[in-house]
Amino acid sequence: MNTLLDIRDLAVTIPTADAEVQALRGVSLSLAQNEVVGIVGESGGGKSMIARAVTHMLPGAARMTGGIELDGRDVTTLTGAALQAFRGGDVALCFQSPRSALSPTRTVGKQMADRFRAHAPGGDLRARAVEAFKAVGLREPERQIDRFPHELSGGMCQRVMIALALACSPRVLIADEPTTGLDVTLTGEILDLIAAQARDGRGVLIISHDIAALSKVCDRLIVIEAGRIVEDGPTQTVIHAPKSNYTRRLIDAVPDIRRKRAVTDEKRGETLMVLSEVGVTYQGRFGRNRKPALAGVNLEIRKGDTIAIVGESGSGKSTLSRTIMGMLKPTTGRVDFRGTDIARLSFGRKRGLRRHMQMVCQDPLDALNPRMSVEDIVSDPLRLVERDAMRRSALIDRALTEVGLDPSFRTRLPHELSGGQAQRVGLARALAIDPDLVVLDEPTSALDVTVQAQILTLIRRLTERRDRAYVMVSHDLATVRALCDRVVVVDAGRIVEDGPTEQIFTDPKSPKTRALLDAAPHLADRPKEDA
Amino acid sequence: MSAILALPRRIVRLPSMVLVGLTILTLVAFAAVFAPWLTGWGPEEMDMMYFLEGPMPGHWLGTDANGMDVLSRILHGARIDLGVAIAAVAIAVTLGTLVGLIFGYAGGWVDHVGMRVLDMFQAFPVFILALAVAAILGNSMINLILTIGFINAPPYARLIRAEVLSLRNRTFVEAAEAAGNSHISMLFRHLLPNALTPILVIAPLNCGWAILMLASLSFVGLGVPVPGAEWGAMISAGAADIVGGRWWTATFPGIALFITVLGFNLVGEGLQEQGVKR
Repeated sequence: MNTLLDIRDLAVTIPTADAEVQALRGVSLSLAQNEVVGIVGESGGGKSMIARAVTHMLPGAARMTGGIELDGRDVTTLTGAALQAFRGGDVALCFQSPRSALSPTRTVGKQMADRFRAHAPGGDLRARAVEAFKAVGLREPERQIDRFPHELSGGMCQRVMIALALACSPRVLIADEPTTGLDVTLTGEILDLIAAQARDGRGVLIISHDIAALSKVCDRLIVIEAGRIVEDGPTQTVIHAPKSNYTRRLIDAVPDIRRKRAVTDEKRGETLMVLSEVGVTYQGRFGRNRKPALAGVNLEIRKGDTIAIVGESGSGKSTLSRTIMGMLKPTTGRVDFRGTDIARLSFGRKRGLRRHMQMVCQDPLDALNPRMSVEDIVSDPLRLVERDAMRRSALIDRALTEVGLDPSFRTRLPHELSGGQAQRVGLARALAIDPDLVVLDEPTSALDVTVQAQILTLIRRLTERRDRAYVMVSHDLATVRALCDRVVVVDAGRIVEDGPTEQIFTDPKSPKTRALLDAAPHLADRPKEDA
Repeated sequence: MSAILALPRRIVRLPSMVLVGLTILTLVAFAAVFAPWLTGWGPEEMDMMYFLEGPMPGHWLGTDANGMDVLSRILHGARIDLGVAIAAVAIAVTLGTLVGLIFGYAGGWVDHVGMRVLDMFQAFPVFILALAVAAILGNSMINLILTIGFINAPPYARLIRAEVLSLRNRTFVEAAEAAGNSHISMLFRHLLPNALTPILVIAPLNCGWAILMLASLSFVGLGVPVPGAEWGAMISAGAADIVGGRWWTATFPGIALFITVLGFNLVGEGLQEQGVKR
């Protein structure tokens, strides 16, 4: 195979107020024709800097040394028109969040036509746009072409983004975290689509933090830690015989869908909550009724339960969790907590409920008030029950210790915390008051894999005490299998399957459940072992 | 709380524009506080020897038609102008913030009705409204402060409401509600501290406008009554003298007014620029 892109001894330094940050150090890698290479690493590891260095899009003050060659031609010195031709024509980039990378005020068809006009003019641009959209698997391209990005789903936007990148048949396609924010089913589809572009001499570079997803589509994996390449080799070798400790940590952190939870046959406790025939319909504008977000939902939650609510994004699982929390008033049905219908309580009475039920949110950093210190955040629910500041302070210490944080974290502000620490604070806030029911809304989806594993270990330790009920909303089936006793599968606002975890994983009844199981990320062809 | 503690560290990093503005305002405040010790004359003390005399030793900025020392009146005027402006803006900020917080947080019909009432207030040109209110209430100092305060409140209410609306979509606000915070603590612990930043930028600019408004009201005779030492009133009284070539009675208070408003604007716009960069 001929080498297409050759990066040699690339180093990038970014000066900051205090010191210089070495974003990349001595990075050498090559991409051959028809090859798919995955670059893996955790956030802040510098993997995006590689894509930026190649396309001359480093942040303003950054300095770069080293060589980047495309087909033996030095591309580090390109300027002006040559650089523009290189960016669109030789190397194309797919950005992280497609919806914000697309112009919100032009239809996707027009944006596609613009791209053709700039790089490969001629012909009926509209017809060519339809053709291009068809090629990336956009359903009904003739209809989508006149839509604006906000009218398309995240997956459709990413397909448009890929079509734009491919507009002028680039030699190299670089995708930077192309599946962030997409659910499992879509992640697989999009990665397959991107990898399929490695043909006719084109090379594909995919940057991601998800080693499991990459292992399925890449020929070669490159692992980056703190700006350095720590591993580079064929996917199978990297996955099955990793040389570096960091790679091994990344692989171990991938929750294995085949790993079962140690089932304990304890008696279930008292009934905490019963949802009967719950339906939620969001009121459209001008009184127009829209499709119900939830319909006919029945669910019973008992003390000691660990229940997973699983579904694709938009299936209504967040609506369900918010209904359980009493944050949302159901349109029909009852939500009984210990015999009282919480849906019809006043704000004041609902506050009283908070000492029994708490929530942990998805994005840990956004879930903490940026202007409050850790101790203020954790003391928030405590102020419901404990008026005495001294005793409250002792409870804060206890809660922080329980989630594995040193009490010295008390004075920190949220921006001084890492993602994992922030999520621990979120957990401490929920647990401080010792609630009977905790709702965890995708507690790990915004975290790096190794941090994810730590948080999951913590949650598992908590759930195994069985002193309260946990409801975990998730699209990640592997964590669900390791953590939960019962799985509730939600699709289009209805519960399509509800049963013990093992039964659902081994003998799924609903086609939706089967589709979710098939799409779940796991490392490619890894020798199985049941733990 | 932490935002306040972090203030000294932040001042060092402020743009030079803000520092120049702050220096000017410090000097004006100094003049206001130490006015009696900086000149030999009282603000309403008449020197029977000199009426309408130009700058000279003893009366460094001249005297006006009543034989009062212009320098002394300008320095004492700083007390009134600065005091009224700051007090009025404080009222505007407090009132506007409270109203905006409540509208944004309550939403629904409270918000709808409330915002339409604000629209009504803002439909009138500000100065016309000030004239009307000042004319109805009469021109005591307290009334002037209240008038200027009330009139400047609606923009703050709008600003805070918009901030609160966007904050309501943030996870931490939902998390705070789920944690069991009361309405009061939702408003003042969680929403207010995060909505306050744009206010800190607008308030200094607003102080500049407030001084101008006070001076304008005095100029048309609805502000500080003669012979009170206030810059607008001095300009108004001195305007007639300019025709006779006696420029100092109106020009020097005009310069004082200009410099002070400039100071406030420098601080405000500097902070705004800082905010944009963030």
